[in-house]
Amino acid sequence: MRQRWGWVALALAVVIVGLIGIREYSLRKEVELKTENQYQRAFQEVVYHVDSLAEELTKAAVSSSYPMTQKALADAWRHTESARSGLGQLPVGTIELSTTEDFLSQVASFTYVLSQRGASGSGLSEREWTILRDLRDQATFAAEELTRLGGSIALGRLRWIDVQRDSMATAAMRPDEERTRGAPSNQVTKGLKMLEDGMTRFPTPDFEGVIPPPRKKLPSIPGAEISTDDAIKIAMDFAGYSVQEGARGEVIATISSEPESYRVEMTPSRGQVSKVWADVSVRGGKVLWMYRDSPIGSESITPAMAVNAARAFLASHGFQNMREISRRDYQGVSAIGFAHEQNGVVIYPDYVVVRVALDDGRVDGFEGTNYQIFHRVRPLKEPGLSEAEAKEGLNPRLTVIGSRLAVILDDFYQEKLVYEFRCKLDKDTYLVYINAETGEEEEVKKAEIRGLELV
Amino acid sequence: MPDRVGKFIFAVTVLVVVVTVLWHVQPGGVFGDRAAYHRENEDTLPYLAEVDLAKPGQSYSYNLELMARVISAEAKGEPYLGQVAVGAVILNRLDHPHFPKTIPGVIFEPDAFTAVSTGHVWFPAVDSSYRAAQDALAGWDPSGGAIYYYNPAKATNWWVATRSYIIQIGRHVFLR
Repeated sequence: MRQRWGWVALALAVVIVGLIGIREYSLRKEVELKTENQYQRAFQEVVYHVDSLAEELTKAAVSSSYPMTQKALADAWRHTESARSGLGQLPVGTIELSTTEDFLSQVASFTYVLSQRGASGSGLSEREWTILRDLRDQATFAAEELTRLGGSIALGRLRWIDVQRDSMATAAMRPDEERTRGAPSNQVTKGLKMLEDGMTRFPTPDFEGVIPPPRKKLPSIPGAEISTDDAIKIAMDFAGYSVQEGARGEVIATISSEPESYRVEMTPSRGQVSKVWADVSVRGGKVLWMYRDSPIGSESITPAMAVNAARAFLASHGFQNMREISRRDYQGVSAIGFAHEQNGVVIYPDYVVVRVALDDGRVDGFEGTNYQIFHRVRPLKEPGLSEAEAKEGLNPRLTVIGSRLAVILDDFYQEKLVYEFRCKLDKDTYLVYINAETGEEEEVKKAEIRGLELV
Repeated sequence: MPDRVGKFIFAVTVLVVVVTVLWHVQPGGVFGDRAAYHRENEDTLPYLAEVDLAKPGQSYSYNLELMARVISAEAKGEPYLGQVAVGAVILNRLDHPHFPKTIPGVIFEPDAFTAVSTGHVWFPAVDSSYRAAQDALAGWDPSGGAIYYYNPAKATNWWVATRSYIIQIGRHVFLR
């Protein structure tokens, strides 16, 4: 009798488990379908926006009036940004698309810069027009390839989910496996590869001086190459440790990025677990940053004391004439930004950040890569405009509460001498930068962005 | 003997039924956040922003939270410098033409971060990862300007391995 109940129960269990299985399976299908639909939509938006981009670029190249060109360029910019955003939603992480991505980013900067010239702007120069035409050809090619791929996706019932699966499988492969078996591919990845291959065949237009470079080309730090022993000594001196007191340091890596540096790991004293790290540039032996990983107790010093501690640290480490420019408080520390000051002019490119622990005011972090790269004595010209003249360039609705001369970097990484006006509008404070030569408004910044206060 | 088999099967069945019922009735209660994650996945982020973050609509605290969660899920147990480096990679991607221009855009790019693919980003972050995120925001970059990293002990991403090596911190290799 007992045994029969057992069998009934077993049958019941099998049925229940089966039903749960069916339910889970259909739920999974549903989620998969939703994801697939989102991918399809994202892809079709990429196709649409690239197609419209080609159309707008053609319009801009053909039209004879500047306002019309400008409008077409503004639309082209909008379509480019939308296409980029759509691309970012597709599972194409392991598919090489860098030329296509570079293209979109260049078109975005190009169309943006030209469309922002304002009503005073003259028409396109001969060189700009040639670039525009080249970009139009490339965009037309991309649009054709994408449209064709879109068609075969719809007809062949290809799924982005499969692209994602292949991409995950590729990600899990070891390099040797990849060489012998090749990365898995399907019609979609092949289509995208065709697009990318085609895009690499177009020559890249010469954008020099027309659009801002995508990344800062950093000048190198002058000076001779130093040895690893020198690097250890420089780092230990900077962090305030000495071998006599039991501190040890070693170079744990050489970093090949710009600027090239040695990473020094220091142990302050025997038996202490917390480490201190510093990067010291191979050329010139400058400390790029220093970092102490020490436990931080409860806050016991005031903000003013933290600033003084940071100031004292900078003075004792050879950073003269530093002025506090920003402040970020978090997790029991204060990260205080300082910029160099030359004859009363604030040199924003030469800045450092000093991190002060708010429990006892010790400096446990320093970041000065920018300062070490850019700092030099600048030949500062007298400003072409007086402060009163520059002030006329301000919005009259603002109340000016302070002003000073400063050097800032523009989008092309060129240094500009500007007047910095600290202004109030309602209860907010803004920093407005007026070019000291031309009187043009270069930049407007809000003085308190969440988490960061500009001083 | 058959008697004991019957008893055993009966007990197992009861257990299966009870667990199943509990699972479906009270997902959060029995299986914790993981089950809740599957439920929330459909509405994704706005939900998280309203429920878990103190002040909705403040993108600063939201971005910080998101960064801290990714750092926590990806680099918990790594040296502190390695945690800051993961935060720096997120920020380096913002400036790079191949990546989206917002922090959520970078983090939620399909398959960009394992923590997002596996759902671990939905778990609360450990304390140290908030400081690591803030340090990265304040300007420290121990990754040497990296835009990729991977763990060579786990599955190797061949595509990432074709990138140029910068430095290894803990278990992560950082690349450009």
